[in-house]
Amino acid sequence: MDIPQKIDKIIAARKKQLPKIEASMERTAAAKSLIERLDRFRSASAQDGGVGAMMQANQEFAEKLESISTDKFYDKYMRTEQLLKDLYKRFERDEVHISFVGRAGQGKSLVLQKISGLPGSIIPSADGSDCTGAKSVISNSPGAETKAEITFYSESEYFAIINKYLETIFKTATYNVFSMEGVVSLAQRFPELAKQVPYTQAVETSLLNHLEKYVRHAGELRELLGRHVMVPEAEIESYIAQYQCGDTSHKYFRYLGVKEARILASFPCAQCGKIVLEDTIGIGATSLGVEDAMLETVRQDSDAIIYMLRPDPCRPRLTKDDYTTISKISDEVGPEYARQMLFWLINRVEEGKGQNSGQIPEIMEQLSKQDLPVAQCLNVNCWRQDEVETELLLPVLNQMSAHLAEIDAFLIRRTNEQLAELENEFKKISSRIEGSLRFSINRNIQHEFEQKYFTPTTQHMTNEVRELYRRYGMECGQPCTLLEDRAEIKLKNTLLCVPKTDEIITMLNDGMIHTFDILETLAEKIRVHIINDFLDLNPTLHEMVLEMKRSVVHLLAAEDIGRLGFVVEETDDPEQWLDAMMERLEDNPEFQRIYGALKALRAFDLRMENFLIYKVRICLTPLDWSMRGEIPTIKTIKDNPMSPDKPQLAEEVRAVLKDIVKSVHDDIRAELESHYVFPNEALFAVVRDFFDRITNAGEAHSNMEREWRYLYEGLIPVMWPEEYRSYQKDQYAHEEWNDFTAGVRACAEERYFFIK
Amino acid sequence: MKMPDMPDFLSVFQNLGNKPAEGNKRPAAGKNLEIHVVMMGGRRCGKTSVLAAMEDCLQRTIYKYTNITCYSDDDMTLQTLREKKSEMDAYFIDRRGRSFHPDSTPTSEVAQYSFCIGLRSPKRTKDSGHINLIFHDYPGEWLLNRRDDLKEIVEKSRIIIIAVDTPYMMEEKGRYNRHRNNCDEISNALIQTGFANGEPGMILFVPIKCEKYRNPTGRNSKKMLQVCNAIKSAYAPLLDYLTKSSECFAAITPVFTLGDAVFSDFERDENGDIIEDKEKIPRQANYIFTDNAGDAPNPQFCEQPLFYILAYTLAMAKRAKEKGGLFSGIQNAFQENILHWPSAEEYLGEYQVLCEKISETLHSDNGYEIVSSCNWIDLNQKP
Repeated sequence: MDIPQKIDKIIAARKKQLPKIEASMERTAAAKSLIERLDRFRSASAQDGGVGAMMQANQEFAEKLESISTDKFYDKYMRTEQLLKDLYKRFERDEVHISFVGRAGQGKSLVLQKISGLPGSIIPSADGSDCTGAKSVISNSPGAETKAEITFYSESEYFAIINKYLETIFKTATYNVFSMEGVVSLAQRFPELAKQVPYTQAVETSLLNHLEKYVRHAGELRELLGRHVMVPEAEIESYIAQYQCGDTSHKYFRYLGVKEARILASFPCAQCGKIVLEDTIGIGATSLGVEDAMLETVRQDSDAIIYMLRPDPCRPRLTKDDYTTISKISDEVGPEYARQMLFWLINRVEEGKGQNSGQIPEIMEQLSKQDLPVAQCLNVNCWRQDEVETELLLPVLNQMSAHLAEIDAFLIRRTNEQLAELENEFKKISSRIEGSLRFSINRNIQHEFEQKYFTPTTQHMTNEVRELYRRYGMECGQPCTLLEDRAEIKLKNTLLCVPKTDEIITMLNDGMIHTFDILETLAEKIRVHIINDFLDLNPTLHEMVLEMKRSVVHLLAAEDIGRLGFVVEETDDPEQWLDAMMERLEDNPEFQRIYGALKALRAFDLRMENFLIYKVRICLTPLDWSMRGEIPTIKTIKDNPMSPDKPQLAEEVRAVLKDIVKSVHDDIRAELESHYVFPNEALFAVVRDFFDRITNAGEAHSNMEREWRYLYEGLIPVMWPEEYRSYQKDQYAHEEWNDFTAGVRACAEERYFFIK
Repeated sequence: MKMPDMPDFLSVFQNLGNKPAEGNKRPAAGKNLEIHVVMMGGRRCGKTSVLAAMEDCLQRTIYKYTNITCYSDDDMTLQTLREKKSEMDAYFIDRRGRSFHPDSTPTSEVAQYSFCIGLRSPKRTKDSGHINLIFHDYPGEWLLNRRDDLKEIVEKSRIIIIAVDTPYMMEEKGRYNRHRNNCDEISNALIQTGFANGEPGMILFVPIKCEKYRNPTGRNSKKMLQVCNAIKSAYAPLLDYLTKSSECFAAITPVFTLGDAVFSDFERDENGDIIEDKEKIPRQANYIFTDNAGDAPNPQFCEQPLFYILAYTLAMAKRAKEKGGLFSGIQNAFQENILHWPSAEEYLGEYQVLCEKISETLHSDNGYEIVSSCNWIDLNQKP
């Protein structure tokens, strides 16, 4: 697959993500509109009816809603919204973009000429001077005639540019303009205003020069503002350059009104494919907002970024400004992105004015020693078309085609991380809203539901939990047959872990073990093998714990028992359910006992490390001569220490180890037999403890009753929706509130906002 | 060794304990006393090895502490025991590796081994009496398919030695014990015969091949105590029966026939499962030589059963002497025999020595335990 085909594939893959990004944008916008709705509720009055009236009638309810802070959510939302928009814009493109950034006069436009094949009259570049007027975007359009699509600022945008200059220069908005008449008036007063800027203020003076251009030529540009025109090749220069190519006395001003010039041309390199070259105004140009515009281009409009530097022959070194710009670009796109898609191009001038080729090797060496957030540092004679193609364009295209897909995935991940933060803020608000639900419900309804539904539900649920711990209690004191059976397998494995005679001979021949410490080495291997094998019983223990938790969760969640499955849907993973339920209750002080009960249940686990593995380890003492102090005598070695017969040695060592391992096996078995009851005892104890916690938590029984009542009160619309509707008198307010809370609940699902 | 036909074999016992003819005076010098001991136990559990090892130990023990002599003048006995001893020696002499497995071919014939027990005394003459100790070994199948014959033998014996193949009792939670050691059949046989019911008798439980449990490498150092407990559990019906009879003395007295070779494990297949024969007991038991194993076995405590037998014999004599008058059965025999020997007093003098030697080892932790005591013998368990 060649580069253009790879680029096509990347673009196609991006398009497929657009519906997902769009869906995420819709969902986040829906969440935002819910929060805005909450704000409207809070600012509504009783006369407005609806939820406002509910709040007026119920002070507790009002206080609960008033106490919810939404500032952080909006803050996160703005950032998230921008990220999603940027992402959408990037993935919506029909091409991949390469941006050229750098200080004025570094050769950006020259490189663009070489890549695009366009002459200097269209992409103006002068020897080291700043000639580009407007931002240009050059699209490869194979086989097409060169032309440009010019977009002008709107009037209001033009006025905003003028006003920004005025505010920066004069530090006041007094002189701001909002109409063409205002601009004309400003032009008349300009000399007078200019006198207010002392010549010593160099920056302001320079900005004043630029401002004057905008003001003086506003009249000429009036007809063009807000328009969108197509121009042929011959006229392009007059729209984007500051002066005619080759004649600096012939100045142009239309660039002042150009927002963007999109030039379509057929690039000479066949490997280009669907690429767009983004030219930017040189950093350091004295017009306002240049750096901000560059960073915005980098963030929004760039796939690859090429930072250009033409070292000064008199001062051939990297400056602080260079490193600062690289850092700013890296911060803007993220270091991970920069390391794949940011290129540092050193413009090598071989002859004539500005010749710097002698200094380039030193600069390249300096760059190679540093850990910069760039993909590659390129050394290119930008005057040579062939070198621009082979040493710049093709490496960049190769890098892009190889890594853009992973960069796109990284951008989606990064956006999802931001969405996760937004989700977190939303969930905080939603849990507070859930917490206020109880107060939104009419007291009479609460009382009715308590009699008819809460009390029977909690009684039924706690009774079921009691039955559960009784069932576990009957097995208390009995050995756990599952663990016993699995342990038997492990016990049998211990007898098989002594290497066979031929394996020992092979290890001796390979030098993996040595005669002088053969017993210790093999014993060590056996010890580790046995321990690891017994640790393998952990999944068995954990499955028993999960089964218990599953039983408890079912009692809490089932529709005909605890009904909490209406709040968090019951799944096969009880720990996930417990986590979700705990998350809902965590920040609410009214449910701390229930939260505590769930937390204790969630935290429980059975592991070999907790009780059994140390017993097994102690039983390995016969295999540990550092503890016994007396290694068995191997007769084969004793008879011939220098060169014992290996087969005989192997046989003897195996016989000794087998004998000891048998003894270890018997000891482990004896030790384990007294511990097989432990899992059943532990499971009983946990369920019993859970029952105690959900019924009295070590305090008055009434405290737990109240806590359960509060919990169910707040969940009436969720858990008994039909019954609730039939009780509601003020249909409108409650419908509005129900609709709102249903929307909040829907948006509070895990990963709801994510691009997925 | 005699290989009598069944009628002759039984007549030996029929003559034992007969009352003297009325009017007959007691002879001035008694004929030699015959004590019959029946060896019971599973097939190929090591009954003959016990005798061979016992004979081997005599030199270092009985002669060292007592004036009693013990020898066999029966060529067949000597030959058989020598062959058995050679077989045990061969495990050590011919060893090529660290492990071996004993031959498991069972005996198929009845065997009888005779020993002469005498006194080492300057007063001894050709008329000095001696005790003929006759051990009867029978094939293990008799427990299953010749019970009536076995019953007759038991009824005529006063001493029973029950050999127990200890690894089969202790390993794998003892699941092979019943099949290997025939505990139930032995218990039933002895209970059905009414052994020692009204007559003094002695049962010795002799666990063999228990070197592993004497010097365990594992964490549990009280394995010999567990051996005792396992025997008591396996033969519980018999022991319950014996406690109702005040005349039967029973003890556990382990012997270590090899000494420096210990049981290691039963042979297992590649999956770690024990390889069993068609009778569902392990096909092969593997043994391993200890670090300090030499070129010959190192049997220990193998004289203990003989000590008990002699102590029983002399206890009977002492009792007969103390009670005087006409007695039945065994006491009559003693009256006729040992008490009329010129060396009778000397024999009775050795009784105390024997009891002391036996008492030195009577510790449950060592595996030695009296499981049914009687007032006719001065042997008590050490606390």
